[in-house]
Amino acid sequence: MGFEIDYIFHPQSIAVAGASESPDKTGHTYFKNVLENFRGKVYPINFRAPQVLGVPTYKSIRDLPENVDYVISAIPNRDILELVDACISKGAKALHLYTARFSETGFEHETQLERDLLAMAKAGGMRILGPNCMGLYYPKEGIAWGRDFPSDSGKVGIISQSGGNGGEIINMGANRGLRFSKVISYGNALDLNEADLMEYFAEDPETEIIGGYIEGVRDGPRFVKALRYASQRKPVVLLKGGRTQAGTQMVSSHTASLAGTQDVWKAMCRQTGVTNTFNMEELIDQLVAFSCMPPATGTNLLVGGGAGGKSVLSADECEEDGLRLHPIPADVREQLTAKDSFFGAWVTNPVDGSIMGGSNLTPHEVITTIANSPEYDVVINSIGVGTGDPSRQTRATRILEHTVDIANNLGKPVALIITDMTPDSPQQLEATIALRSKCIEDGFPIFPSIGRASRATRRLVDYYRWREGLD
Amino acid sequence: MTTADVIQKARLDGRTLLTEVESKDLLQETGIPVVETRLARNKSQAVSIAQELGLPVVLKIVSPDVIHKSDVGGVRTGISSTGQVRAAYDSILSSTLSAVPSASIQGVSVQKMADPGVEVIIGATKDPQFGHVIMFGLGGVLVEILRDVSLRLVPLTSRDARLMVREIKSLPLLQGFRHYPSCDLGKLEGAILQLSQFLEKHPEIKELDLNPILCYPNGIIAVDARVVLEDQDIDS
Repeated sequence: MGFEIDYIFHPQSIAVAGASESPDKTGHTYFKNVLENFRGKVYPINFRAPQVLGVPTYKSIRDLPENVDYVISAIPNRDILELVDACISKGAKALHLYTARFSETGFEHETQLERDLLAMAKAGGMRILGPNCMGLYYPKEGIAWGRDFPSDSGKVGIISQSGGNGGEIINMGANRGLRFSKVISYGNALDLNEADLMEYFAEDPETEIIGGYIEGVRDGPRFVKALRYASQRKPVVLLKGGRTQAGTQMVSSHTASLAGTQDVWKAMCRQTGVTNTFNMEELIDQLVAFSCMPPATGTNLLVGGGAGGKSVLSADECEEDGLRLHPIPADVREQLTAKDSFFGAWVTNPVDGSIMGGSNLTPHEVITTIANSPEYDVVINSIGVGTGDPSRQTRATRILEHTVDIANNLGKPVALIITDMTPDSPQQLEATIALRSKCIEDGFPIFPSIGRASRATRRLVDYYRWREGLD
Repeated sequence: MTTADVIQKARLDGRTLLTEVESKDLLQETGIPVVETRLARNKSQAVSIAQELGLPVVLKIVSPDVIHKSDVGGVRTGISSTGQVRAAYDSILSSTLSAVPSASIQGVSVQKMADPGVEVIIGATKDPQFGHVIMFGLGGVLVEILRDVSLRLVPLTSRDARLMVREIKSLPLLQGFRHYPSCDLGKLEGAILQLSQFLEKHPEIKELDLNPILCYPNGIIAVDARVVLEDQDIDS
C-alpha cells in the first residue's frame, strides 16, 4: 500500500507558475532551486516578465512546447481554476499549491474554491499537494523550497503540515548532522494527506526514519493504520501542534470527560509504536538518536565523564527518564582492581574521571572496560570543553575519539554530551564548534545536555522494546 | 431486547440517552457479564421481580431524563426484605421527582445485589479525529479527580488490552494490595476486547460507561451501564 504515489516525486519536467525575477518572492526561490539542481526540464511561467534568471518564460502552462509532469504554483488563488485546467491539459501528474487562502481562511467562498479545484483535479487524474504549503524538498532530485537546505541526501523522511516548521526541522536537523530523503510539507491536505504520506514513507526504501509535524488529522483511522504499519518497519517520531482542547463539548459520560484530545493522541502513539515528542528540540533529538544509534532494548546505563556533583545530577536525570544506572558488576570490578587496586575499587557508575589522577587506569580504559560488559545496554559520555585552551581542547578531542572508538566497537547506543553553554571566550566557542563539527562528520549523536540525551535514549529503547514485543 | 430493538425504540422516542435497563440489554451482544436487571413499572412488580431474582437487591430509578442516578437519590442498595422493596420504591420516586420535577419515569430497575469487589470502569467515547476510544480505570469518584485512566483506540489488539489494564498507577489495587482481593485481569482484558469488537460494529454509539464493574479473583460483573447514541445512524 501507499508506494504508488512515488511517480509524483520523479518528474521529468517541472514548471513553476509564478516564477519571479524578484529574489524575495518564493516563486523565485522555487525556480532558482530547480533551475540549479533539477536534472530535467524546467519552465518558468510568468504572465509579465519575458524571462526569469535568464530563462525565457511562458505566459501560461498551455503555451509549453510539450507536456509537463510536475507544476509548482506560486500564483494568487483567484487564477487557480484556470491553472488546474491548464495543468491537466498538459498532462501534469501533480500540482503543488504554494498558493494559499483557501479553506484555512474559514470563509465559504475560499472553501468552495478549494472543493472546486479538487473536483477538477480528480476528474483530470492529477494529484494535489497542499494548498497552503511549501511542498517538496527532495535533494536527490534537486527540488527544494529553501535557499539554504543541504544538497546532499540522507535517510530521514519528514511529513509536515506546516512549511515553516518543516523548514525548521531541515535547518535544525542539518546543524545536528541529519540529512533527509524527502521532506513533504502538505498544508491543507486537500488531496494527499497525512495517511497517504505515512503509507508512502513506510514503503519508501530511501527513508529509514520517519518524522512528522502534525496539527489536525484528515483521515484518523487510516492514519492510525499507516502508523502501525510504518513503525513495525522503521522508527516514527511525531510532534503534535495544537495540543490544547479547542472548545469543550458537553459530555454526559465519565469516559468522554476523561479522554481529552491530547490524552487520545498519546494513547494513539503508544498503541502504534510512535515516539511522541513535545517540542521541536525533542523531535530533532529523537531523529538524531534514531539516525546515529543502533537498536537497544535494555535500560541499563553507563554514564561517563563529569566530576563529583555533575555525576550526581546526571544520575538523577537519567533515573528520572527511566534509565537505570547499573552498579559495576563483580567481574568488571575484578578486571579494574587487577590494574589498580585503589582506583579500581573506588570507581562507580557514573564514572567520575576527575578522581583518576595518578592512577594506573585512564578514564577511557575504565569506561571501555565497563561498557564492554553485557550487563550494560546504553552509554552516555560527556566532554567538557572547559576554557577552550589548547591543552583542554586536546583532551576534549581525545575523549571524543575515545568515545567514537567505544561506540564503533560496542554495537550499543553511545551518546555524547557537549554542553550547550554560553561561551566565556572566543576560544571556547571555537573549541566547541570544532568538536561538534567533528562529531557530526563522524555521524556521532551529540546532545547539548544530559537530560536531552537520556530522554532520547530512553525513547529509543522504548521503541525497540515495543517493536520486539517486550512488554 | 436486541441491540437493534433498543436503538430503534430510542430513535422512535427521539432519545439518545439509553436507560440502565436498555443499556444492559444492548450490552448483551458484547458478551461482557452484566448483572441481570429488570424494569418494574409499579411497586408490586418490583416485589415479585425481587423475589424471583432473590434478595438482597438494588433498586434504581429508570428515567431517560436522569443521567447520574445517585445524584438525585435514585439508588437504594442492600434491600433485604419485600417490605424494604416497597419502601425503597416510594422513596426513589419521590426523591427523583423532587430533584427533577419534569422527569419522565419509566419505573424502577431491580437487580440482585452483587458481592463486594474492586470497582473499575470501562468506557468508550468518540474522538472527532480517531473515532471510538476505550478507557479503563479504577471505579468510584476518585477516577474523576485523579484521572488515573488508560486509553486506546478501537480496534484494540490483545496486546493493547493487556497493556492498558497494566498502565494505570492504581494497578497494585487490582493485584491484591493489602486487604484488597486480587482481580481477574484476564477477564478485564477480555471485556475490553469484546467492547472493542462491539464498537467496531456499532458506529452509532457515541458514549458508553460500564461503571462500576466489580472485579473478583475469578470473574468480573458490570453492575451499572450507560449508553449514549449519536443523533443519527452512521454507516459502519
